[in-house]
Amino acid sequence: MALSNTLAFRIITLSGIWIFVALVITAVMLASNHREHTAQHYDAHVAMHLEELIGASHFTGSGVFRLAFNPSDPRYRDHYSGWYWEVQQSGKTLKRSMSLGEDSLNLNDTQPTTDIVVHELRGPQKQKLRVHVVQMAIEPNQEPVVFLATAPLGGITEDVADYTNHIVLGFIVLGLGLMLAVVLQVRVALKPLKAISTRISEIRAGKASKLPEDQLEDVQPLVDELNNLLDHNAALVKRARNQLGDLAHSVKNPLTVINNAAQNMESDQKELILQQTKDISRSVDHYLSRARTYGTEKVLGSRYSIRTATEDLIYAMQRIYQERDLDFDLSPLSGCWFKGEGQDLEEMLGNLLDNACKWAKSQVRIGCGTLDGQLEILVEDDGPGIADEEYENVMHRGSRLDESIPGHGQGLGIVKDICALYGGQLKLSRSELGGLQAKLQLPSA
Amino acid sequence: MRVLIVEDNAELARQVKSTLEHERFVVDVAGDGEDGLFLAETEPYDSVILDLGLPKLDGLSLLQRLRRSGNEVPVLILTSRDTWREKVAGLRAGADDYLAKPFEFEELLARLEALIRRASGHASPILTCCKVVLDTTSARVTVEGNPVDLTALEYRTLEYLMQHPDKVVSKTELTEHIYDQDFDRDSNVIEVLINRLRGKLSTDLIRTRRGLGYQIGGVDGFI
Repeated sequence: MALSNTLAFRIITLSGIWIFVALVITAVMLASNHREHTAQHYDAHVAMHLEELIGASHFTGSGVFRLAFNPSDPRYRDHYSGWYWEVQQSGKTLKRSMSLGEDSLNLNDTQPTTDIVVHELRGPQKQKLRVHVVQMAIEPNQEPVVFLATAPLGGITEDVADYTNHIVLGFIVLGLGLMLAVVLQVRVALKPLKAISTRISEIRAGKASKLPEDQLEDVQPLVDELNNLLDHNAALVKRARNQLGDLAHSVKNPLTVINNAAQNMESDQKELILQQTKDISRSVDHYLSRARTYGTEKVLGSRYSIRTATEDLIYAMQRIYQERDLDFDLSPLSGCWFKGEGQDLEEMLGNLLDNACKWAKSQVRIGCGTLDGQLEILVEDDGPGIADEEYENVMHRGSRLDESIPGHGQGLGIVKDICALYGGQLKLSRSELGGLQAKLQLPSA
Repeated sequence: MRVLIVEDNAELARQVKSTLEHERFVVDVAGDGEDGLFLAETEPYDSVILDLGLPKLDGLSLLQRLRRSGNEVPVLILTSRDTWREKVAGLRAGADDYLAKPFEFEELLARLEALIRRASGHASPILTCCKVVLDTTSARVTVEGNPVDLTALEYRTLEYLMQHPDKVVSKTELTEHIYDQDFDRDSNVIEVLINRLRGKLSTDLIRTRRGLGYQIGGVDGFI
């Protein structure tokens, strides 16, 4: 399953995008507000100094411009600090701050007015400055005087950048924290679904038969529906099998009666009737066994222990063939699982074991293992075995090599058919024990 | 040997009964599970042939109840239900063998005789006592290699006694196993049969244990 196709991935991704966008918008808004606030702070500062400057200005009786005191901020004494003030009259400098040195502030094309105007301009050493300009007539007989006071724009930018760095770092931590919270939340919220998914895997593997009932209220309807579906599925299979059993009963009883009656007949029709009943019987067995076969490993609850099936069948064989005193060697069967329906496995193993018991002198060996991702089940005997060229023939239904041994010759044919329905195959060869080795190759569990 | 057939298909039951009687078995038939259980619990059968799909009480339940009551009569399941799961269930419920329908009478007879033989502790179908040999598969009796003609009743009596060597078999037990349930058990026909067998085989083959019954062979006579 691709990660991108999971519910958790979708929730986490969407939450992540939303958190990122929200944090970026918030950061931009905060940085913008801070810039505005810082600019206002600088402006208030400069405006205060400008008013100080205006308040301290006067002309002497001889018409010389004087300042009663210089603006108090020590930054006006630092050379090229960006903090400057200047008083101009008719384009000439009357007074300027020590920080400006011999330079002058050039307003370019900007015409000063009697209201304070805020501009940005290039000062000495191409510094970007925020300048407050106002023109005032201090003495009626004097030309109006232009007052300029500046603050370095770089200071504002640095303050804003510093602030922005802090909030970006803070927001990254916040974003990671939120994402962690989302991941934890998703894990906790999806835990019941994960538990259901795990249980479904267990059901599929045959380790459980139903989903646990005690679920959260939101999930309970889903669990109930799935359990109902499982029950319905099991009931359908059981009903179908029971009906097949009834059908077998209702067909085979009259067939047995006809067959037995024909055996006592004297007429020429006896052989014909016996042959026909034999054919009908074979067909009934063939189609009943096909109909009974689940024949797929892709069903829920479809895993079955080979050891359990074999032990049950060995018990049956020991009862049926108790006069033979056969020795059954169950090579390690633990941990071997059949991916499919238990009854199908029992039909295959039962027929192979029955065949092996019929022919064995004293020993029947059963083994299993996996090879190249396939399950291999071996059933061997120490009987006479069969010739290589007969292997194909005996797997056809109704084929019996020795009519003196009871049976209908259906066993290996049934095994071959069921095995094929599971996408596997039945292979016959000579066993190390001397008799026949039947090997079932099936998809592994 | 006395056999109970529990089979709801009347015609099939009749056929099996007829064949078994032809093979010198004494046969009773029950048409449903309840009758079958009653007969199996009250009459001493040597074997029971049991169908699984029965009215009133299914075959598996009948078998389980029979075994729970301690009855160990050999049971052969004869049924159309032929999956291995059903066979295992039947055998685990206490059946001794399982034969699926349709079947051949030869196989049914062979399995039935094997069951009865096993139940009485004989591995071979040939029973031998002194000079008398009884082949249960061919129903032939010989004395020192010479065939002896026996009636069905004589054969049943001899077979039952030879199946239970050394055992003192009461007249009642013998009657129960060689006659069906309608036989008048007070008649003296058993004494007549024993005398006829002594005449045809050997006078000292069957000993009378006064007040107890009859005994065949003996510790030193039976092989």
